[in-house]
Amino acid sequence: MEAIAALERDTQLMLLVREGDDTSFALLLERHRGPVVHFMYRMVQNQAVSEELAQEVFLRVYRSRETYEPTAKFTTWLFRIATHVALNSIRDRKKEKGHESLDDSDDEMPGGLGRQVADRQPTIEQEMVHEVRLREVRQAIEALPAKQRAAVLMHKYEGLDYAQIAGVLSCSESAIKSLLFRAYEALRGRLAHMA
Amino acid sequence: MICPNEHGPNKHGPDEECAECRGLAAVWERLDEFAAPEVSAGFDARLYARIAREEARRPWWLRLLWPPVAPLAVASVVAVALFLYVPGKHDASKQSSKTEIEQVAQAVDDLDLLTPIDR
Repeated sequence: MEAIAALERDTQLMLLVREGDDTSFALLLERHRGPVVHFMYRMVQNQAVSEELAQEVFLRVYRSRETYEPTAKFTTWLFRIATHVALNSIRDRKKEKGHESLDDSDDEMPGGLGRQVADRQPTIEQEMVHEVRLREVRQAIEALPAKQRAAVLMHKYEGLDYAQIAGVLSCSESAIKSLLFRAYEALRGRLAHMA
Repeated sequence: MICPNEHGPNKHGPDEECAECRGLAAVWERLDEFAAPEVSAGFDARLYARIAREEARRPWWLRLLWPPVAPLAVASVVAVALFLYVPGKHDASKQSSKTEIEQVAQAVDDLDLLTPIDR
């Protein structure tokens, strides 16, 4: 038990889940639901699909409870599962539909942001400019190779450090720095005209 | 922030900025515009329903194995049974009762031998 106490909080909770404690699973879900769903949303850019995939992630966590071993930080392990699920989904969708047009997801504009804009009562022009800018950011992110996209999303939005992203993508830290630099350079190229 | 000059030939300090830094900072800022929506209210309920469906599909004997209460209970019963049943103990008691019978028989025989002398 002392060994467990020395581990990070999430790992402790997961070890309790391994012992059959469902309350600890609920706590882990509470702590990581948002980050996983948001990561999925930015990966696939569709709310319904992102929640479905996030559920798949937590289902896999639950399924793995009996064999869980704390070999890495819990977040690294969780995002390794999330990235695997996301990349599989992107690959399958590409196979099914060919290259997906972003126009298909026009009705999937982030609701929260839409509400924020509505609350400030922008003019029609401001709203249009905002939507154009947002669409360009989404397109720029979607145009990144899937692995670069996952790395950028974990780095920029989920606050994972290089070591964690390297753990998730099974690369060295220097490879991740290089991957991220190329990704940000590509984004800068695509978004330069929006300055 | 990822700056190629951080460790490269045009190395600069942590508080300094180069053109690369400024460019990347602008991209970083622009990415903030991509907000994600709130998680829908029924997310947990749907997840737990999926877990319950999956659990229901598991064979009954596998469900008994997890959480590990049933296996631990069985192991405890076996341990107690093993503790109570000491193989040599039963043999020894059987052996001692057999010896007792033989001793009593011997004593009776001895008494029989002694009886005529007493008379």
